Amino acid sequence: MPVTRLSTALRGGIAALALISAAGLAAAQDVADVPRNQTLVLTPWGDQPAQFANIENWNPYLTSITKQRDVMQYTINEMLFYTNLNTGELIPWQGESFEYAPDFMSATIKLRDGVTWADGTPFTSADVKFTLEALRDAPPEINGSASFNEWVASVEAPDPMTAVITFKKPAPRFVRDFLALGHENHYPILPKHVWEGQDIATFTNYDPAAGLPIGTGAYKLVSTATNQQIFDRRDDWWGVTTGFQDTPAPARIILTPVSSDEAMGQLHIANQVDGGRQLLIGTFEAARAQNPNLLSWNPEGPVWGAPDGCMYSIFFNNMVAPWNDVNIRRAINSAMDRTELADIAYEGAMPTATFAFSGYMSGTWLTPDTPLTAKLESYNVDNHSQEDVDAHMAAGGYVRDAEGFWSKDGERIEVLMRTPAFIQPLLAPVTQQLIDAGFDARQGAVDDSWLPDMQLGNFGTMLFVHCGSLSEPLETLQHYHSKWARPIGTAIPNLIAGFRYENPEMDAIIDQMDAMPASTDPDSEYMKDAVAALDIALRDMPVIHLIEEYHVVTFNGTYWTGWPGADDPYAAPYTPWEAFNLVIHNLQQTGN
Amino acid sequence: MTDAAAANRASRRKASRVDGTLVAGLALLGLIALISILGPLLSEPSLADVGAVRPRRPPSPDFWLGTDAQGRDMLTLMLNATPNTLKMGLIAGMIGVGFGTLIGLISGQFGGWIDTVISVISDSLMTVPAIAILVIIAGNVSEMTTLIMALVVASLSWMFTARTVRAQVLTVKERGYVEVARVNGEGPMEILFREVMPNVAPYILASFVGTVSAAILATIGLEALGLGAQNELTLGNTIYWAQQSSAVLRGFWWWWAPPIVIIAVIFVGLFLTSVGFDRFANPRLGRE
Amino acid sequence: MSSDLLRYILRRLVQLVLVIFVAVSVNFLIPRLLPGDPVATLIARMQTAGGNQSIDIAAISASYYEKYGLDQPILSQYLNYWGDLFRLDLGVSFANFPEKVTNMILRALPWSVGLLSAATLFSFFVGSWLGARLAWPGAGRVIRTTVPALMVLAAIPFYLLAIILVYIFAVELRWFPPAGGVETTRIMRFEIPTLLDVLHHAVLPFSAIALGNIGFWALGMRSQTVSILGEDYITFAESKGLAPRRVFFWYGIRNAFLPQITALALSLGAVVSGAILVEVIFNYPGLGTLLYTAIRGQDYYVIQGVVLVLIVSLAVMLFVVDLIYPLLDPRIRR
Repeated sequence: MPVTRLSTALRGGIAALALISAAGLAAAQDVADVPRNQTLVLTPWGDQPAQFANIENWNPYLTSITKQRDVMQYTINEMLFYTNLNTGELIPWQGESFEYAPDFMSATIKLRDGVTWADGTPFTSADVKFTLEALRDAPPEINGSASFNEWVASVEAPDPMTAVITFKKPAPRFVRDFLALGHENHYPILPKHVWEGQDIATFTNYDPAAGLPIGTGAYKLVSTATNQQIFDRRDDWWGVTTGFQDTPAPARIILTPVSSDEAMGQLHIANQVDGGRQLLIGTFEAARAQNPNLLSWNPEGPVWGAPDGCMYSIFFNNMVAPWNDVNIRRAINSAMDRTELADIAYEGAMPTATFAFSGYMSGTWLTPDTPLTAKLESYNVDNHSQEDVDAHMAAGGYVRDAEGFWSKDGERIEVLMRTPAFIQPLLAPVTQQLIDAGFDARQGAVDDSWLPDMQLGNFGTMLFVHCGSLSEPLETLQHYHSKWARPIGTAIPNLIAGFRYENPEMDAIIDQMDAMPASTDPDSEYMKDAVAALDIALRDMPVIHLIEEYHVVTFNGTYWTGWPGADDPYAAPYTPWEAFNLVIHNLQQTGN
Repeated sequence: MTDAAAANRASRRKASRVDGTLVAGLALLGLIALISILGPLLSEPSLADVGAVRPRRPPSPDFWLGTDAQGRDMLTLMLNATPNTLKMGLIAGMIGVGFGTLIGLISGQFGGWIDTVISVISDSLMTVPAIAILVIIAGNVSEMTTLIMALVVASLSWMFTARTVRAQVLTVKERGYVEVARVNGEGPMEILFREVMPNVAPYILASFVGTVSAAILATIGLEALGLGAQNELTLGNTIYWAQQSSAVLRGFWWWWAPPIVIIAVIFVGLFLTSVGFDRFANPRLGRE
Repeated sequence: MSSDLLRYILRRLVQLVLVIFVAVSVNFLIPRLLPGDPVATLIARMQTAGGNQSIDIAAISASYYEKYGLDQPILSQYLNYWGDLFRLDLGVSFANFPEKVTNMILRALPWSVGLLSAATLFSFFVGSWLGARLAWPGAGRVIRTTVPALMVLAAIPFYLLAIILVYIFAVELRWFPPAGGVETTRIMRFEIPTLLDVLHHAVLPFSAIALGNIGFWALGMRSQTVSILGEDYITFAESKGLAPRRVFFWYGIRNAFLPQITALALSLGAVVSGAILVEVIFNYPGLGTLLYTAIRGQDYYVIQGVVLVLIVSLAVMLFVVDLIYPLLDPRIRR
């Protein structure tokens, strides 16, 4: 009798739970069943909430909607050009070719014939003109509007397959940066016939009855809910009908949220997911032990992953004392044992770094005998040495106080090391190394207060991520330009330049480089400028780079093969980057 | 067996059981107190510095509980984290109970609109999930310390004490000897401290155990969410790091099991102590 | 209805309104008193999301301040806040701009309400029943050994139990999924497989909350039962020769149960607090996870919204319990 009663209560409770839960979910809109082995399941990149928000907003230009980082660029939208960051190779897609005028004041883009929007309307230069000009005129909160406004004067469409962009100033790298590189910034061309007359800041681009969102991509949205977004393959995709590409293998792409490393590891083990969020190295290795089909970029560890273009760095606030003193910055650099940091914080899965030139540069710009390599080596940045710490501190007039901490004029130097949550593993070891070198260092709170504080300059030292060069040195060096600096209390326009560095000498060099195309020729003006700028950056050390961000991007080979890797580097493996669309088109079923 | 013998045995059993619970609880708490006092003395604190030893080692003769993800000896970490966690609970408990007692005495003694205002405030605070307030505050101080945590937790854990004390004051006030004291010309303050306080004291002691327990619960919860005092070693921080490093999936039980065991011992100790106290004060509960 | 009862209800109603008023006001004030500027945070977030690009901060700031009335004096902000509340408008999420907070809460609510109400009611009734059985003379050996063990278990915070459950049942035995609400490829339809999937994912979080609570209710019920055992009406019922089961249910449980209900109402806040952590551990798509994410992201309006929903629903539940109470207790009813 008691047992019956208990189980009745149990059943009643569970049934109630299930009913209430099910009632809260948007029931999928007539979605057909697709077998697991024809479905590609991906998660968004990075730490994300356990539920999607803005599920009925598919405007790719609202900066705060992370979906554009997550899924639109490899389902609904396509790019004019893609870049294989591993080689720098340009892969034409909606576009066929482009050409700059000799003075770099305009660029002519040839479009591919036969590209159509999902509703059958041809994709033409009118769409390109509409989009670029809409972005140029868009309000400030629209993704990229400030940049398009800075560069684009006007766009002409002399014929349906030709678009001519006229610039406001020489723009030798505009097409690459805004229409081809696709590293986190996505600027898809919009269908003019849908977006014309809409307010780009409020239009949600969602109307299932009308077929929205519409793109030229091979997939269409069939269901959107907080726990899942489903995209099904379009049989009438232009790429197949024109013979440009084969039909992509996944019949369905599902995006599902996952909020922790451990949860992602579990999903991989259970074959519930095929890719997306990175894993920590330990989780990857533990998961791989249980599911041998898991793979990453490299076939062996501990550096399993691939570079993501960024460095974990110490940002100094160069506008406040004592961080405006180059001696203390150099001393802190000498206090850092980068190998130990990489080992403790990332189990050796990330390589050490000396400057924010990413691994994608190493094959072209940083081969052993280039001027840049020589300059980097001459500074011997990665050299952990207490003697050097002591020497630099002595040079700055600092002495150790009674308790052995560095101080000046009787005042102890306090180092409050701040960090955003995504670099938290570095916080404790960096702080400890500073303490070991004689600094009175403490860890700051890990929450989102770093954001406004970094913007307004309310910090001294911050562990932050310096995303720099993927394809040429200027991409990093320009962050040292004083046009990014603002007085303390005024927000800076670009977080990556949050170290608030000012140096007219540097500004002049960067301005020159801005107006000329990149060149690896050691005797070119460009290269000379690059070396001079690098020299200043390494001399002044307004920011010091510790570790290059490599993520163990994990793919599941159970149902899908053809993932990019060191042995087949046809695209960088990051889902939030545009070129991930190439991966979708390269996948094949394993037959499992 | 005669009835008398049976009754006798039953009562002996009852007596020993009452003692058993209380003794077991106090023994567990004593064990934790011993660890807290001796641990920092017996261990080499520098082994709990980041990078002091090779990270991610399993338990071995050198490192009995292995090492953590940040290169710290887990045993040293535990020995030094336990007193911090305990300290936080005790500080929060003392402040919470002290403040709660004061508020309860005032509320019960003076009545009227003061009582009404206090009741409304404490009732509304009681409906607030403490964790919600805690996280908002925790997310907005530049650096969290165990002391701030204790203060925040204390500010949200005085209500139960205040309620209990108020109720007792109201009961005591009706008793004859208080009436007598009033007639004898004692002022309200004298009555409060001379006549009322001694009668309320046992209830304050009981709610102290409860408040300490609630305080530790809240602080560990906050730490497990990653909102604790980063620069100090605590049990909750250890759990947070174990979770961040996917310790469960990786099978690194020595990252999460030791702090959980210690926390469990603390809570079970507090629980048995309070149950023991209850039985002591209310012998009827001892009947099985 | 007697005038006494009417006055009692009226007084409780006034108290409810006061509690809600105070809670709403405090909820409005706390984020505004604390340092940090939500708009600055929003813009900084845009900068990170937008990556390497420049943004006209001043222009965006001004436009958002205006859009959300943050440029108005605090008193009119406060009045607007009340006005919006009555329209169930809790503002927009800054982290997921321009999503409405109300939508986010409504989507998370069913998961939390389902999980929490099922687990709480289950442990409340089962725990109370076990506690009463333990106190009642003639309890079996199973009851006498398992119930005290459950009581000890209840002393341990239940989010720690959650970690242990994940280790045993998700990682080692692989019986249940360690995280999430449903399988990734599950198409949500009102049909049995979906339901089973939801249940399968709910088992571990449900068990963590239930295991951590049963002992608590058993303990309370045991004390209550013990204290009524000697009452005259029990002795009287027994001497009348009523069946022991009947005495147990009709005279024992019924009377000992009343204080339990008050305790349930009072403990709901604590249960919710603990459940937040359980949801975070299980990556469960409910209010707790929503709150946690919002806190980590300083998403003010979401934090406010969730906390408000929690406070108001708890206050209302307390009120309802207080109303029901006189109906259940014959001594008060009379």
